[in-house]
Amino acid sequence: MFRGMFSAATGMGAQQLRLDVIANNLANVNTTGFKKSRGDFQDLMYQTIRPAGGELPSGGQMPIGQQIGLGVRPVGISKIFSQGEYVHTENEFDLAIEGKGFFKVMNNGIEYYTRAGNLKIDKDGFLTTPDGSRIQPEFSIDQKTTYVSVDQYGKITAYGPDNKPLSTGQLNLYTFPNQAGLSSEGRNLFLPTEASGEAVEGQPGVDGVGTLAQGYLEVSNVNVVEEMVNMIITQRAYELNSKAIQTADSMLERAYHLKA
Amino acid sequence: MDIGLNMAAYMGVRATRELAMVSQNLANASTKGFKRELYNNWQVAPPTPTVNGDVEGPFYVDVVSRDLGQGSLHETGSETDLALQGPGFFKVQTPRGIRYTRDGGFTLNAEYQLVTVEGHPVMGKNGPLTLDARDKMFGFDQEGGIHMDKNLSDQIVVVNFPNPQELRPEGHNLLVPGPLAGEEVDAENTQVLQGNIEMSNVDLVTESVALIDLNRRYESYLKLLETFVTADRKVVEEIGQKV
Repeated sequence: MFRGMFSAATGMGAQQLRLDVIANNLANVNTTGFKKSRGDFQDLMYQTIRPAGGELPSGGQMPIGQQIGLGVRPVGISKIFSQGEYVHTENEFDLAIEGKGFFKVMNNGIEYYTRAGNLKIDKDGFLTTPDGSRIQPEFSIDQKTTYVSVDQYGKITAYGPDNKPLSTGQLNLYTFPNQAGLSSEGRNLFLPTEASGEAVEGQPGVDGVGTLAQGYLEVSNVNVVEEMVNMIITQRAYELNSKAIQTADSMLERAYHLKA
Repeated sequence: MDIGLNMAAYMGVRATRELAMVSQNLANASTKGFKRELYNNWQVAPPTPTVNGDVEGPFYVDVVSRDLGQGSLHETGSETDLALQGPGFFKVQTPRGIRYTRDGGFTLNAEYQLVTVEGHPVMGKNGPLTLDARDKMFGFDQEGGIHMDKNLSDQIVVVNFPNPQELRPEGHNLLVPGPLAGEEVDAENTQVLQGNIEMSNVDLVTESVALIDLNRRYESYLKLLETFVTADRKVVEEIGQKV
């Protein structure tokens, strides 16, 4: 009986975690370059009450044993790096990555990676993310620049008033063996970990890191309907796990009031 | 009378074990590849008359089996998520030896190996699978063949057992074959679906009905128990006094 209570309690914990993940996905539905997460769960462990192959009282062998599982445990929250949808913005500093790559940015001396391509120009003319992290390698734009073009191979050209190129640069992208192993640092930034492996630099359109699209933004890959459905299922599963605990409680109460 | 009393008590205990099982299923309602557990009561010996006219038995044992039916498929769009449609298991290499699983929520590790969420390599026909896809597109076909830029490079191993019920769960979504499971064979008619995962086959409605059912049965077993005890007391108090 108590086994059942504790299994159901682990189940409630798991559904709670799942709801946390769904809530974060929904909160970021309009975040540029956001990648949704999902909770991964595993069965906890099993208590063997009677092993298979044991002797039966009537002779013969038990073909099936008796093992009771003790619940569930969360094993990880993995990011799903499927492609988000593209939105046409016509803003020259909006860059969308079509493919697996990431931009490299520098913030407070630490190298981060991001897929959010809604770039800005800081006061010194450098290309930055909205929170002021400079794109690596740094690229500065002269004040006289009227137009900046970025082609799909990552070549940046700043044009002056008479349509003459003032400066050019190369914007490279980075991929990881295991994107799901990246650590989310908030502000749309990711840090590599031992699980993700080292960043591999590549030129857009040449090295399989994806291509760039100027004037487009990649919005989050969160599907609101899917998250809503998951939320309903999560709520029901949570309720039923609590019902199992209530049932155990009412059975205990009934046993306690046994008239003998 | 003793047999009835024992039987009522036993059925009560049995209901509590059933509750443990239903709780386990409910707790794992969102565990990928989890198979619903069933509690069965097997009669191993029929009621047999003994020499002094009493009846002995019937004897029961409880067995836990698993409903190996297909879990629902959930599209994730992640290229390393694989779902099995049909019988069979993926084969993974753990530090404790080869294990089997239906949980196809795999990822790549830093060495480009296809691994489980806990980092155990997934086995292909030529050993652990490596998918170095830095500048290539890779895809799985429905037979589990792995294509790198449309060239067949390896195949993921999907196996089955003559007696799949004998694969025992050891937690962590891993199964270990018991002595009666038989030799592994290649799974037939099983499709590998990329970009999908198989959810658990736990049905919340079935489990909630089971919860109500076992609760009511438990109450009636205890009522039965009380009736036997009351009858015993009556024998002692009323019939005993008249003698």
